[in-house]
Amino acid sequence: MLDQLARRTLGAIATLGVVIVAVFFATRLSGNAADYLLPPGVDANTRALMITQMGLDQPLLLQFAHYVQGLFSGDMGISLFERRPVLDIYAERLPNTLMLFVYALGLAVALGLPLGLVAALNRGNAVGAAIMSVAFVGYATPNFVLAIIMILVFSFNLHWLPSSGSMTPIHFLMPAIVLAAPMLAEIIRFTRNAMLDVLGQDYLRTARAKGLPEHLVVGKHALRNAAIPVVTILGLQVAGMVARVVIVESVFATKGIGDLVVFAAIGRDYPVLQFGVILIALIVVTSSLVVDYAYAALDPRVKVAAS
Amino acid sequence: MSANALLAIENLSVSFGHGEKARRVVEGLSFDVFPGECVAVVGESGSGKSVTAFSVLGLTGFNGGTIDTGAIRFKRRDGSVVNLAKAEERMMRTIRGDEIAMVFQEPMTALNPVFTVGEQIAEVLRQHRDMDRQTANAKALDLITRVHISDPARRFTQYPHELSGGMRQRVVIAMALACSPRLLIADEPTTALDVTIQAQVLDLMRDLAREEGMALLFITHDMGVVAEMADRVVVMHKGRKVEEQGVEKLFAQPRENYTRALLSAVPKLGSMAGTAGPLAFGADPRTAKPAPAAHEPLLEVKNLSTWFPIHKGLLKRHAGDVKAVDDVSFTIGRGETLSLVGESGSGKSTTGRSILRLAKPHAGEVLLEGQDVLKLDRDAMRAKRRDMQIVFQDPYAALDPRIDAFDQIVEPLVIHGVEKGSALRDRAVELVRRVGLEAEHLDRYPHEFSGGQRQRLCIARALSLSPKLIIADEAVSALDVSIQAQVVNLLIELQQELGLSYLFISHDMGVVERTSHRVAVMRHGKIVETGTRAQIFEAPKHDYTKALIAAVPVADATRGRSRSAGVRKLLPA
Repeated sequence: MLDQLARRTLGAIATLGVVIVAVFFATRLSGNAADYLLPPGVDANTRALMITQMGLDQPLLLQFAHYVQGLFSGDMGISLFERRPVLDIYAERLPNTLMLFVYALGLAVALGLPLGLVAALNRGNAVGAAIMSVAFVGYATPNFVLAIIMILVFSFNLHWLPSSGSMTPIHFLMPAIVLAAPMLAEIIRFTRNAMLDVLGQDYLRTARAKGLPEHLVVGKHALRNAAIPVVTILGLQVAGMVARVVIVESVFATKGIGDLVVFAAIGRDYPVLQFGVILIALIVVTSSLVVDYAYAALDPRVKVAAS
Repeated sequence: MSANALLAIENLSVSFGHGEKARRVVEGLSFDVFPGECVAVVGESGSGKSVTAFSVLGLTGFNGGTIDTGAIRFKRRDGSVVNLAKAEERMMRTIRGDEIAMVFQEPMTALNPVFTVGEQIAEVLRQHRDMDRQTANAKALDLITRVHISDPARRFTQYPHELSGGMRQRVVIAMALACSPRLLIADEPTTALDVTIQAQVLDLMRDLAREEGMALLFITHDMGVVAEMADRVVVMHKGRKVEEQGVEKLFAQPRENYTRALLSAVPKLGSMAGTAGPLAFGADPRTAKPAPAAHEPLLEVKNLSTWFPIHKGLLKRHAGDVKAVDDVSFTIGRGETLSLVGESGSGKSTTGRSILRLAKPHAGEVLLEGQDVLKLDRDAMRAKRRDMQIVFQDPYAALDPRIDAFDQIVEPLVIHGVEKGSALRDRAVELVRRVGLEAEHLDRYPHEFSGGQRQRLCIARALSLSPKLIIADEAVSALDVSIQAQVVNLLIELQQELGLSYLFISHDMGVVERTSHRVAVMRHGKIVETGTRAQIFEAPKHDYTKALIAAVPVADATRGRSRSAGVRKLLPA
């Protein structure tokens, strides 16, 4: 098992390396950043001066070397717009996004597992059908639609929740719900299917033949097995969440990294963009690595497969 | 209910499904089990024997079954008698695992893969005996020792997948014994095990039942196991009791035709002494003309080795090989059947697959009519496959469920461009008739056939290209005995008519004795002994061959019981 996890960890590091290289060259391919910063019709000398100042006249490989060196020494460059270190900007923004992730993930798991379980145990009756319908709606509704409806209902009509900003934990409630909705639906669906699969297994019959009460048969013997496939999709869910957070943060004006990266991309603020992409890659890669470790911890069979 | 009975099943009827789809699977069944005795319930698949077992434990409801009529009276430890057919779930839970315990057919799936073996045993004790974790664990360790699992302390902390099939079944038995139940129900407990392991597990169950004074309700399809274990036998067919007899009487003088048919279909080891070739079930050895084995070889396998590499470590270094087939040589003559016998993991299936190049051999020669098939290029190999066909064990998995019988059978003809258009239909009709099916069967899909009929389809498909060699890989192992006898007879008949050669791969010594001209015994990838059928069965030389033959339960109630000591001597644990 250790071999396999070590191999996965090395793989994750390699993935990050590829992202770092790809991000650097991709931002260079899309035109000269100086042109986006200067007003139209500026004379050639000013433009040349700007390019020199920004270091864009240096050979590409040298620029790359500076960029990598910066990454390792904690110098991510200066934002072309805000004129302050990229790292400072992210230090302000990242906690908001992470808080949003934790709320959304917690919500989706805390509700999704029990609902999926109840849906499986009530297969074929009204309760099961109701849960699956709600899950289907959650999955099918675009998140900006859900976001706008929630703002209309809870902010404008009922005045219960603030519609935008990221000042207090209450501000995170609506964006977290919107972010969690499709994930919740997916977890319900997966938990239900995994449970149905497990409920037909011989070892549950064994558990019943031992005289165990139903809450142990389901809650211990079935759930532990059903959790294994559910954990594996959580990694994918984090990746999906990263994609959705861009929209959710824009709608709710949450000062997070999703919002930041969008504006950096539009404005060619590529020091900010570069680091944003690397950071997002880091989040996705780390979460799938965590899933691998969790999987190995949950399923004793994984250990032997590798050794 | 007789006053002394421990369990009395009275007029029990069980059905599955509701309304119009309701299907009776047990109908008006009655029999008693007395303390300390072993009652075997025998029957083929669909006879309702397992459903009966689950009804006693009150578990049919979880599978969608309903007890329609009848009573299952059980005398509890305190002397009170309860009707398990009507008992509340709460009371059933205090009986299950405590007063009545169960051992299941599939040790591979009966244990929960994510909990340790020790935990799964200790759990029963905590549930019924109100023990704390420490006491329960200590008792569980005792139980593991009692079922003769070596190195119990280590096994205690292991997970089911780290144990062999036989060991897992011992764990299930330990679990069942935990609370010293008064009745142990065993549902085909050794069917999934190798024959030498089966002998050990049967011994263990018999000894433990005697020590504990437990009654055994033994569900099985295997007449050999019945002869060995049972005091009394209940024969079931299509949900009804056909006959109930003391074991010796049943084998000596079966009353009912069904029982007689069942007994005659059981391959009896040693019943073939004195005949030269394969012999159909029911055929008279004095008048039947067994197919003579030609001396001219069709297939020569020379020093065949198929190894599977093991990779280890971060860089997946090559750490060694599993020698699945290790320097194996044999020949098969025209019209001859060579049986390859051995237990699971012996490499017999890999040998068959290597000959067809379905597995990649890394050394050796496979000469078919003198030509080495291992050296053929892709096109030549494809053409050569016409001469060599295979029939697999599981007829359910070997047929594509979405293709009808006609297309299944003619597919090889189309691929090899042998026939076209209406000629295909004619050939398909000829083939299904040859395997004992009808032309109208051709338009049906696999799920509309029974297991035996499917295997006939697989044989028809293998025959379509008029091969010279058919590899039958456990081809009758998944079938009920009466169906198995029919398919074996079909194979023998086809050999006589078409002069086919068979490589008959099987773990079942009884069937092998029926079908073979010659036998090769495999163990750990090597052939330990080859000889004519008479040499192997009447004068085996190698200890392993002797053990293999001695371990087969004999379907003879007067001989069965004295056998096991010999197996133990031959195969030290």
